[in-house]
Amino acid sequence: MQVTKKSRMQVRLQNIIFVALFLGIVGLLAWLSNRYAISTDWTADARNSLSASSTELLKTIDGPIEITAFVRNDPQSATLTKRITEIVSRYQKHNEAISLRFINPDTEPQMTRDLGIRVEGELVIRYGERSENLQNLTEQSLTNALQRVARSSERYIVFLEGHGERNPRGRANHDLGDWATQLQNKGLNIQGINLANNPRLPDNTSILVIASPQVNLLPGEFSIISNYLAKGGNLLWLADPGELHGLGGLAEQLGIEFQPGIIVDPTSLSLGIQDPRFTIITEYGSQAITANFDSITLFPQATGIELVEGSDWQADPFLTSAANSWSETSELKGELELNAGEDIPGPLNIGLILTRNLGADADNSGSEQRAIVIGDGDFVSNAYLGNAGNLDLGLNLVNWLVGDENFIDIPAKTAGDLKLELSPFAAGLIGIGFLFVLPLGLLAAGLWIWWRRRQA
Amino acid sequence: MMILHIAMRELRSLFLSPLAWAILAVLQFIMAWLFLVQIESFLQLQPRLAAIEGAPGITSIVAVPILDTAAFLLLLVTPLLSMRLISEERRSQTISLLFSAPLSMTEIVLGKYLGLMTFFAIMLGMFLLMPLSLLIGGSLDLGLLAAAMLGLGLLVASFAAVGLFMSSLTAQPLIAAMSSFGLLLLLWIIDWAGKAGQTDKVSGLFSYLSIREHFESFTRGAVNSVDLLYYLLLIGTALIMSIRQLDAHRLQH
Repeated sequence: MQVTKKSRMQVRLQNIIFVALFLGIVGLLAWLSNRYAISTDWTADARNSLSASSTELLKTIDGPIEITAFVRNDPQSATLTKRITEIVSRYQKHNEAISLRFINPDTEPQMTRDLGIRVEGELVIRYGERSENLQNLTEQSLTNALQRVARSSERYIVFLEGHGERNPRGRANHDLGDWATQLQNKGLNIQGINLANNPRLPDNTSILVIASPQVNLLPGEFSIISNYLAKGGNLLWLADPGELHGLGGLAEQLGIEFQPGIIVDPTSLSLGIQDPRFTIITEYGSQAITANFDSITLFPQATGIELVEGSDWQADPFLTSAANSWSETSELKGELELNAGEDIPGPLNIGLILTRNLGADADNSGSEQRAIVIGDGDFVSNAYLGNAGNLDLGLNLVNWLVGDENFIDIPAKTAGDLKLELSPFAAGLIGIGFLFVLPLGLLAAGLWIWWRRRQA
Repeated sequence: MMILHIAMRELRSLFLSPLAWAILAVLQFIMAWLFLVQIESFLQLQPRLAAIEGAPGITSIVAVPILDTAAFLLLLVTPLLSMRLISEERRSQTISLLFSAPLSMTEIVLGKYLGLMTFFAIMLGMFLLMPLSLLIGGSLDLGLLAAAMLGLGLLVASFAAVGLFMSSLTAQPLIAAMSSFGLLLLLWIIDWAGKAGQTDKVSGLFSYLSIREHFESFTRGAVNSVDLLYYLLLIGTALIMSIRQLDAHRLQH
């Protein structure tokens, strides 16, 4: 073949065209591989995959779920971004309606404030009108958050009104406005009802909330509430120390009794709170409400609750004051001390979970009736909601009462290869063998070959 | 058949040079050192691991980190081993013999590549012995170990393919080594450019191009088609370009 200038140019041109086309095809293949990805998990404990309960849930969710992650745009946050992307992508594999976007809180301060973002890496999960914030991302927390935002039925939380109760729309210190707003963000409907003008509770009431009435209920009003309870309605009763204002019958019905006095908790002094009437709770029972709870909660001016034998309610104390606290029955003045015979020594129950199995004849679809009584209404009031774990506790209470706590428990994936027991001989063998014998053997072989070739 | 013949010839010449032995010895020493350090730290962690929910096991704490380090060590070493593959033949004019032999360029390239990969297979097998030796006194997550080894194998195969391509471009082995080292390092750190996790197009492309990014999922035991195909495409591209380069070179002769 005669190689001329012209043919050389042609060859060169052909080369350029080939390389361009070839790289184009490679790029296309790479793009396609990203579009249609298959992933497998080779680990023994399937730590890169979702557990069956999560995938079941994802099948039932339809419609777009927007997940927004608030992560700074700097190298330190790259690992956080990676982790979030990685975990969320496991979900996206099973449900394509889940979208993830990242927002830099530094450039979007307004949005960050509006959504109540407190820590970096916090996620906001939005489904239709409902949204939920998630601070620590694990499969368990995300699955449960998705379950909560995607619940389809409407829940109505009805607040009793007309007796000076804490107002769910109020802005005053003792009102419950902030807490109610948080509940609404979770997709729950908040409603007030004054039984004097409207003498029946709506049928779709999920929870009736009685929050510290200040004046007596009329007997007629009481009987409506009593009936509601008898028929299997769920109740949240926040009672403050002192007068029950015509709700004594309700306590009887629930099989409880409020103890006299106000709980005095010396631990609060050690935490720098100058008011001994603040009860601090740091330890919780293992009930569903406080199962994964690790922050302290604060109860200003609480009263203890006692159980009365022989009720058909199954009672379960879940908030208990410290052992060195007591219920002070005299005036709170001067030096406070536990006076035997007058005051009631602790630990005292501040919160009770009451459950009752409903027979099949009850006109309530739920098989279990739920009530919670707490001897303090201040802890979710606007003044104290922001303290420690109070808000979370307040939200958990309601979640449990409406039956949305059916908490999906995802067992942590623990590796199976946690045990290493090497006998000293084996350890020595591994150490010396790999560190000295093998490298020196290789070096010797190399030297020997090199030497032999020099001889040759 | 011819491919195997060339592969054997390549392997022989590698093992006749003291360089390959020295590299094996030095890497083995460094890896063993790291391995013992990881075992030490695992033994210190062990009592606490049982109490941690979702705790990682021996495989994640001992085997994966050393394979992770091996990836970087091999990035430094591969250019030294791949530089001579074709450059040496050119420099010593033996390439004309290859050209005149009844061999296609494809056979030459694949044969040389296979020879080098056999050497790496021996090296990786040696590294693999270390985590496997722990089976004496414990259990391992063999699936995760296999995934990490597969990832490392693909990574090294990509290094070698890039090195081979660079070696086909020049008659100077040192230049081949330097340029393949430069290119590999660029691929290694390319995702640092747009590293902020923002999912815009450009940084997405950079992180796709990053040779290290794709290795990560293998070390978690999550083997997926995207990463697998990335390496296969990279290897395929480098090999095909090497073949083209040899063809073009042959024409000029």
